[in-house]
Amino acid sequence: MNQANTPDAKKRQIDQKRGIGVRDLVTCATFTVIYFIVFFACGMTGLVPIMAFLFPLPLALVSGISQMLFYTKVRSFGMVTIMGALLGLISFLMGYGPIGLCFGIVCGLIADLILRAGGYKSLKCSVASHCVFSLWVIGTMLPMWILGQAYFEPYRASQGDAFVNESLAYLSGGMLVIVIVGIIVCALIGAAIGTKVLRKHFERAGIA
Amino acid sequence: MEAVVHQASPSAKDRGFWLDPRTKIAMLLCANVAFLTSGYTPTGFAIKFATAAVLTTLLSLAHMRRAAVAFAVAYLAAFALEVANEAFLLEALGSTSLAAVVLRFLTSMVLSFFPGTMFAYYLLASTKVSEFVAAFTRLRLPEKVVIPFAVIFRFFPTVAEEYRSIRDAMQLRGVNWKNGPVSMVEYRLVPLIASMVKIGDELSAASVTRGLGGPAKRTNRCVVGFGSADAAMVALMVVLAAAAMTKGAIG
Repeated sequence: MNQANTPDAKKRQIDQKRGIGVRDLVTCATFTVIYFIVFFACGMTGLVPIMAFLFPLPLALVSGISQMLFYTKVRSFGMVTIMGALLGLISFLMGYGPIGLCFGIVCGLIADLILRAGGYKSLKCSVASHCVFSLWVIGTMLPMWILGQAYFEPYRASQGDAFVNESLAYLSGGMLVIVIVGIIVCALIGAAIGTKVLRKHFERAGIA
Repeated sequence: MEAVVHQASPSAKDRGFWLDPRTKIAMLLCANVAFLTSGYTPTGFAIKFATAAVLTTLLSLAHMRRAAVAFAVAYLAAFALEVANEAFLLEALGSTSLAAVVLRFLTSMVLSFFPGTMFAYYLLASTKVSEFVAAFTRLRLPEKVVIPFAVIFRFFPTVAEEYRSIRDAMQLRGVNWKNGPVSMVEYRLVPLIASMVKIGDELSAASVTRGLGGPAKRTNRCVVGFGSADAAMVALMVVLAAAAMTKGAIG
């Protein structure tokens, strides 16, 4: 990212010392709304049973566009954490369970730390940060795993071990690992696309 | 915030059966725990049904009778399907076939997840944004989370409006679903993001000049407070959640 060359790089550095102001809070809100729209659009695909597990993949891919733009506007520590907390809070209020709230805060915090390590300018750190941030969705999905296991266990007596084990295979830890790896891969691609879109559209439009 | 200043909560007489937003949040938490941990034993189903009954009552008390009826019907239908699964459907399909697994997955979803979503619907539909803000402030949530939270709800109608304009403009130019998902993202999401960022800038300029972010403590005209109804509902839900955790048990 060529933020260092943009005219307001100096202003940005000054702002960095100032902490989080109202403008930054509104920026967080704006990008949380955009993220949530993408979240919903991807969540709709969850009506197809297998996509109930895989909807974070397109989410990580498409949200790369808005996240990379958001990261160019992050100037002080805490903004990504606030966004994670907001996503977690709203997903909790929408019935995705309280685990998502914890994941939102923790993933947001780690993503924030990575971004700070790069001084809010490093492209590599932005990409890594997006990968970590995208993992918060796991928190909204974990209840499904816990539930699935609880659902099939009582059938051991009536349907036999083979049935239960086979059903649980769809919900095993292995599946969870596949989803996590998938999210990270999609987030990497999403961040690459996001950077391209940033150059092609947002910088030319003067909003990056 | 504009919304906070203009929307006063109705007086206690008009609002009928009214619960504090904090009560509703605590109840949502308890309902999540109850539905997730109660399991599929007869006791577990009793707990699920009791919690679902509480939810149906709350929905009808909050003048959402249609939602209450729809929820009750869907829930009973899923329970009937679960019983049918157990009795003969799984034998017919072959109990390890993919169809059987999907069927069980769907019933499990409706029996355990749908109520949580309905509870959330009740919470969001029966609570004003200002009430949420008042409740979060009382809960000592940091202002850095409460302010963007209020702003988000201010944004949703704007997004819908902007999206409609962009959609119409793109349809005039012949860009629609037929062009594939990539062009949908590039020609709809990207302009939407661009206009949202601009609107956000204007909003923050307007808010700052109206004093948001100043050193003074923000006030709220919404009256929130606990009453006997709050105590009763929270006690009921805590009992259900505790029963689910001890009797139901996971796995």
